Amino acid sequence: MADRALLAGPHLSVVSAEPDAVLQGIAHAIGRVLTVDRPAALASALVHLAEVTACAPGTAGRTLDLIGHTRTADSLLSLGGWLVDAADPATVAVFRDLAERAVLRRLGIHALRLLGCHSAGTERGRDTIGRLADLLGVEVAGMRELLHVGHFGPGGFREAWSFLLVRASELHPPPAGPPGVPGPRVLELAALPAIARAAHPAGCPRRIADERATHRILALVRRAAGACMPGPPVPPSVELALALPFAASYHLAHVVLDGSFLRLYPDGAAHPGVLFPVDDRESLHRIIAGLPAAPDPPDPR
Amino acid sequence: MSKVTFYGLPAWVGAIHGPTVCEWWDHDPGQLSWDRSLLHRLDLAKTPTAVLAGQIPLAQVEVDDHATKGGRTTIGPLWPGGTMIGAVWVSETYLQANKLTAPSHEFQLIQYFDGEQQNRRFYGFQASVLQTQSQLSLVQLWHPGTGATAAAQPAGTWWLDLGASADPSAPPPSAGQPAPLYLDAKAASQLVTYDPKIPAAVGTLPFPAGPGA
Repeated sequence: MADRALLAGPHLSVVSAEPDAVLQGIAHAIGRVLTVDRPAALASALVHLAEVTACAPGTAGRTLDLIGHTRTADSLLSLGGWLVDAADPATVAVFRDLAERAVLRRLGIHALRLLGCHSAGTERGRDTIGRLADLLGVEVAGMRELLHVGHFGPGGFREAWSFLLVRASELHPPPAGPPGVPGPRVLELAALPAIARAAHPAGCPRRIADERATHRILALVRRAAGACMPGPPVPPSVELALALPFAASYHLAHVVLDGSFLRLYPDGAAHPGVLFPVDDRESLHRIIAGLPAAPDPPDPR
Repeated sequence: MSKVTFYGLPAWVGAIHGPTVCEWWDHDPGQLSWDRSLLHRLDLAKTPTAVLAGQIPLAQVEVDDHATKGGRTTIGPLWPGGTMIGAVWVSETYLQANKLTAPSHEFQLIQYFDGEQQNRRFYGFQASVLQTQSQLSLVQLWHPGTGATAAAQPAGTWWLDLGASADPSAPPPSAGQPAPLYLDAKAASQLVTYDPKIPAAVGTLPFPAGPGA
């Protein structure tokens, strides 16, 4: 019954087992907590709970909250005499064991939170947060401010104070540069990569354009006005295999938005397509109507 | 149709009166001789979320939600422990009542509460429409807050359906001239990476997806 009560809410709260009035006050405010004082105690308690989880209700979206004082100049969270430090082999061993035995997954735990004052306030603390996230494969968070009993209520750490958390996912550096290119892309036929015709399930008519037809099609395109369009790719109405200037190679292109645009892949098929406006849709449709249908590509199986 | 325009200003908190109530300077207090008569009182609980939850009427909105709730404000949101220096995105009513100077369109956002645009929000950008084709426009955009900088490169160039993604109440930019463009949260979050730097000395923050995105 006590095990079921621990797993009744969205937070599984684990408090450092030590004779400390502040921690006892926090445990009292939460109501139902585990207390541990060393790595083995945490591991055995969680493994035991995972074994009873199969018959416990509501196992999804739970956090594992480790609550204790931070100690040392590096503000590392302590549970009894155990410093939760990812540079410490004993700490790594216990969390690796939990990961390998899928204990957190079986408990429905999607995040580990190191709830101690400034636990994310030092380089070593943030390093521990990042390393534990990598090790466990779940979000790990620490505190950027002081923590006190007022941050807790029945059931655990109160959601209203979650802005005080620093998450491992926030510690990654921002992207190095803007996602786009400053100006429009210019179409250079000679620079288009060859793209193999591959099977695709949705399907639209496919046509093959020889070198002459390719030149006629690309002459209809505003070559200096290429740009991506954000969001999911617009479905094509026709797929074209455009003959490239070197033998037996094609570049795939898609006719989109009723022939208003041709979507090309100058960065390769794995990258987003670039839309080039078509000046004369009627001519494009006429050229396409005269192109032979492409045979189905070989089945990759 | 109810909408509120929010203006992003730098904020230095100078007094705290409760978990969400503070007074703040809109300039570095060191440059204001710590003049307490220049403080502005603000309740960080008077947000669009509070309106949508029926907790306050629209006329009482003072500030956009905190960044952790999908908004753009970065001071607070609760004390003790809340952030003391950051951005505060105040409503037009609050701006006027406190005689604050409105920043440029790159530091503005528009939140709709009902009507056809209900719950949509539009972020201000510096943009230049280069040409149009069918329903799409070829648009150059600058990262928010950088468009007025002569040396700043555009963040990128995209084909956009402005009829679907731009604020219908704002005039569309004319071709070839850099001008304000208000893009909805979903489109904007697919295009730019960074939020405006407020105050200018702070580091960059990821662009918010927004509560309506």
